Amino acid sequence: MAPPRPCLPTDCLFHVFVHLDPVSIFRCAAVSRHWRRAVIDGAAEIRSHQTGRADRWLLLGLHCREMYPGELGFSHRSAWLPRAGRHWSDMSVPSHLPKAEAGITKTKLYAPLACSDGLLLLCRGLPAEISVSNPLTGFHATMPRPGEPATSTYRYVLHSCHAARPNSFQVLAVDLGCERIRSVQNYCSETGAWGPVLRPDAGGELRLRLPWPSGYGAAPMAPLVFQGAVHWLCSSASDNSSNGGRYLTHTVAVDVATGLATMTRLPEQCSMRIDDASDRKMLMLATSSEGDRLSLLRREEASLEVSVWLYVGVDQGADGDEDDPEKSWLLRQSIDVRKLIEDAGSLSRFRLGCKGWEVLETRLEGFCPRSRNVILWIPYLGLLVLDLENKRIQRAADGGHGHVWPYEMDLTLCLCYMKPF
Amino acid sequence: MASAGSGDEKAAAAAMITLISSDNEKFEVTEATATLSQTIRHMIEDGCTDGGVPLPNVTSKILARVIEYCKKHATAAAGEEGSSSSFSDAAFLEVDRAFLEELEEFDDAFLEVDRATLFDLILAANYLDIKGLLNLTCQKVADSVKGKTPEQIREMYNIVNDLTPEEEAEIRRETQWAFE
Repeated sequence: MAPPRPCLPTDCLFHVFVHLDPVSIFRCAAVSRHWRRAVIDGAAEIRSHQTGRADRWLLLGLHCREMYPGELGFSHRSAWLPRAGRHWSDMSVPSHLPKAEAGITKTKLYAPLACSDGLLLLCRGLPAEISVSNPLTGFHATMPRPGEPATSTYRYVLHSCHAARPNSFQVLAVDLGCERIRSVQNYCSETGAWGPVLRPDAGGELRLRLPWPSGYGAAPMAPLVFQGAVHWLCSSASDNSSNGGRYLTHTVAVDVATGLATMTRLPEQCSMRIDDASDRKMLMLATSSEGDRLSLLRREEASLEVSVWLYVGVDQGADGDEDDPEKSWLLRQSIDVRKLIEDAGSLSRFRLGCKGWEVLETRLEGFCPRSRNVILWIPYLGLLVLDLENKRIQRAADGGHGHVWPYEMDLTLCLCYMKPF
Repeated sequence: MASAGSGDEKAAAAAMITLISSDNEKFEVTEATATLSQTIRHMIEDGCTDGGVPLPNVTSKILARVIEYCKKHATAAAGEEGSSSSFSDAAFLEVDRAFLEELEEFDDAFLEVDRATLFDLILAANYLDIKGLLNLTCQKVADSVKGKTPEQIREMYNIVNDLTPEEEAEIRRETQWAFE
């Protein structure tokens, strides 16, 4: 062997990289040409390696002091300004968000509409301009508005991010009428155009209502994008009982490709008043641990317990019979949040000024489908990240106050567009 | 390989493999030890180990250490097999745990080597395809690299920086967040 030690060959370096977190990998890629090539050559394998260390190292949540919900008509009243470095995670990451032009500080503010896989869907001004931004890399792309005149009843869902290539995305615009879905339209960044306007419910048979929070500044319940469809909790407007329209009783799935919407009834134990779901945030959609089924998280009344329901129902045939909700939803597990907090030890000391566990009312703030983490808000404790898989809970750094827009990011995605030298 | 019985010793003796390092030193190891290396396992399966296995990429110093590792872990693997076949008694589990702890201590002590030896061990583990050893040693390198700047990594491992200042500037621009 030559005296100036030849460094480890590429395949050995690969075995080192799979033990590293993304930040360290990127630093390794700046050591020398050889190391850089080893990172680039192994990028795909590093990302998919079974140890999964790199891929699971995700950022969670853009934290902003004040935020206005995703309704275009209100964006001019937004007090939210994207600011740098307000992510919560164990490292501080600068965020490059588009800055309003110099001199204009009053109107052109951005408000987040949705986020997914590290991309943010933003709108600003009136008439609203919609854009997608990657706070990590500074990527920012403005997109045209939907073909039809946008109304305040539009809801935008960001999905299929990075599917075709890094920073590619699709946006589904759903126009919600009072009791039905008026139209659905999909935008694809690859074609740069909105698809055809789909009217899945021209006959008005599907009568539903999506909850809207009553409080000023509260965000609407985020939908769950899952298996090519966008899922919301909703209530049935055709429910003739006295509770009709005031209770969440169904989920609705809007297929991204076809615009077709289907409703599924919730089990009796999970249906609840709209206020309880949207303001007190007691109910939330999630995915199963295998990632192939819809599940439902419910915070139990007067306790620090979260129950997980799993949808096991199969599609009924053409006879149109509705699933029996009591059979198609199974109570999978109950998570004792209080016990997890006590087990975590160091968390308990944040419970300053709290008289007892009984008064703590947990809110389900968000679900992160990639890691299956649940963002909880608990008075006196602030924002917490509950890992459903490993039954662990930890405090979200700097999560004690303000609104939060939880989103996940796969840092190793940047590995795929690194330049070789 | 060797089954319990009167022919035990004979079978064990028959299953000895000779490994020959790059500096022509010969090492006698049992087949159980040698087959921790996938490379050697394939050679044995192909029946081309008669007259010894030449390992031109591994020095005697490193090979001795590799064999030390394999011996320890081969007995560990045998122990595991033994305990899983017997009924799971609390006492057995206790023994298992003690054994695992001992193995961990062994691994920790095993890694107490200088950087050059560590790299040679990685090269040998990679060449011989010994998963456990490759993982162990690479984890050690990963731990030492974690949280370090590129300059610190270069210094630590004597790596010449062959990137131009322009390229370095571009890398930093590209992934600025990783350097703050």
